[in-house]
Amino acid sequence: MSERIVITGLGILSAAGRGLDATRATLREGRSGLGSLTLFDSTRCGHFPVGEVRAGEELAQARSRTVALALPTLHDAWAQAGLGDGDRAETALCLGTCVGGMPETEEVLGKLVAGEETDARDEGVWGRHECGATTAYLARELGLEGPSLTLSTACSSSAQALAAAADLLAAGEARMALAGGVDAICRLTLHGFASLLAMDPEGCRPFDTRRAGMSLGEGAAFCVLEREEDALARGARPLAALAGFANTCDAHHPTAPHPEGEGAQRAMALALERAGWAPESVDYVNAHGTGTRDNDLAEGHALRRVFAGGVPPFSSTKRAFGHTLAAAGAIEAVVSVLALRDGLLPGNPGFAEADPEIGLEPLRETTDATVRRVLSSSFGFGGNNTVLCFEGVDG
Amino acid sequence: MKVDLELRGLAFAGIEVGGLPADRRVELPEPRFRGRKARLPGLAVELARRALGEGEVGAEGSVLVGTALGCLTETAAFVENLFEQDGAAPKPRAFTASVHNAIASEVARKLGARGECQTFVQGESSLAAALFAAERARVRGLTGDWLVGALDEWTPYVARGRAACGDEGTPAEGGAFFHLARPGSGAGQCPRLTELAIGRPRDARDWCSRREPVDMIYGLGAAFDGGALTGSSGAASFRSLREVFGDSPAAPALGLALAAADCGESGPRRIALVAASRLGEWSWITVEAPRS
Repeated sequence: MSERIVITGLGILSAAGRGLDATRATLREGRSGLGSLTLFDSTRCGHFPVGEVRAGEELAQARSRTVALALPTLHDAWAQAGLGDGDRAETALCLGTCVGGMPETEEVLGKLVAGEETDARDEGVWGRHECGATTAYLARELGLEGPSLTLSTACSSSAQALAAAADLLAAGEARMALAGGVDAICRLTLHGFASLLAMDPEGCRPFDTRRAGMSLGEGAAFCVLEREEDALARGARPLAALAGFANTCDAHHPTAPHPEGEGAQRAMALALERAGWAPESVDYVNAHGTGTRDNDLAEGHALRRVFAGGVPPFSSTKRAFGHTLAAAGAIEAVVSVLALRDGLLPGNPGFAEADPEIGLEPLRETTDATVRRVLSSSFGFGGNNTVLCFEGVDG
Repeated sequence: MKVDLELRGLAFAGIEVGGLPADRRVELPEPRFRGRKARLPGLAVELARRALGEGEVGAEGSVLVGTALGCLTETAAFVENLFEQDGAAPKPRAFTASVHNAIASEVARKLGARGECQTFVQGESSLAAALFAAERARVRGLTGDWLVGALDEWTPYVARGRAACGDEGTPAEGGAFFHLARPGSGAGQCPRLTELAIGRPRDARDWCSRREPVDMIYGLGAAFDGGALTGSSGAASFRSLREVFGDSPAAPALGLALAAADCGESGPRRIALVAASRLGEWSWITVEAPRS
């Protein structure tokens, strides 16, 4: 990228808790964030552990669960970046989300199907259902006047939101951007992935030979992105730089990834090329690693081909948070920045035994190391592949 | 921002309007759940093929789609069935179509486009967001052409949503796809997109005044003062398209198709499509007549 884009603020809320300290502690201890679902009755689709956010009244009283997850996270990122009211007019919001207002829509739809009457409060959900309405509400709450973009490319959505924010900044369409993602657990996604036999009743075990699917999660994460010269001019201290990104499409199958990871490989190679990095210079790869048979196998193929000289240390952190779908890319961006800032290589919770078909073994435990360059992959339904390159900055 | 994309072909679905080329029209599929054949993805593939005509998007081509609500027919089928059957017999095919990116993915898969594949879900600004992505990909030097489109359907749930917001709306559905390319050997023969903006301005008139002057403004979305707007952009004439295309979030795609057809020697040379979104955003797309 011609102008360096830096990250100056982070916010995160997940099953691992709110904020960087809670996230760092979860990663260091290799904890699983999975537990029983309490949001609604899901007995008919089976018991699957999930990464549910438990934050009590704060969540229950919000306009929607999606907003409740996103708003405090946005405030945290804004605060860490040291931004004030004068910055709002030139700030863009780039949000990745898949479900929007679906959790609330489902409640009302359930009433309608049961033949129950709905009141005006119920009917309000229809106007808040669409994903863009969540973005618009968040932008209004924060008083942002820059462009708002809502991206919905399944599990790569928020990684793509970060890339879109970098594009807005590079084009001069905003001076700074809040970019990230949010998704809440709902019946649509839980029953949907269960119907595809894509969830592991034991909890996800990415890259393990016994893996049997993903574990659904929910959460939000946001980054404040700025052009480096702007950040330095206002006295901000960059946390990391977004050095490159790429998006490709497998064009292979409606849901399954290309079995050889062809599109994923192209996305990784293109992101590295745009960042100007040699593959051997990458210190850590935060893999998509959902724990499904197909994804992990395809990703393994892609890693081996891109890093033909030796695959760098890699791990999937999905078991720490659950697969937060549209939020996953942004949550893993935060993990990547923590790896750079704190000098840690996150372990791969849930992994015990290598899969000979994959032929690679992820990091079993979190270890300390000097980390300068991180590649983070996010892959979505329909063979949508987005890869982000993060690098450390001085100071 | 300035953009430089050549509009080589288009196709549309939805309301018939004088000025839109009839041979570019694709019939809307029936609004019902049909298992494997999801409604909007199927329509999008037809639109994309028609927009390409004899051309190709290329293996490195990209598919960029705007849709406010995605495949509502299939999403509703999945969730309604969940409650009706108490979760006993889910419909996986409806679930896979409920993912907003299913439309773009299907176009990419059917046409072999392995470049960028993105979906913007931003109400009436969705098309402008998709066009922004195309322009940025051009600037980054991505090879291959772009298939950019926006489409949405109107279902009873959309009507409920509009009613809940105090806006009954005029039922409308459909959309359009465009084959875009960087100006090349065919430069001068096709309309071009020359300016694009998306924002959430406090003062829309001021925001519009920052754009390059145009001859005509086509206004879409929530009612706004067309007279004030045209005054802010030189001596442009104003035409409201809200009554023409109704209240589909994909109306800007139909508006762009109309603007591309209207600009030329006998019509205005530069037309701006300005959409005021229900979500409080504004988008501006300028289309310029072929040079020759």
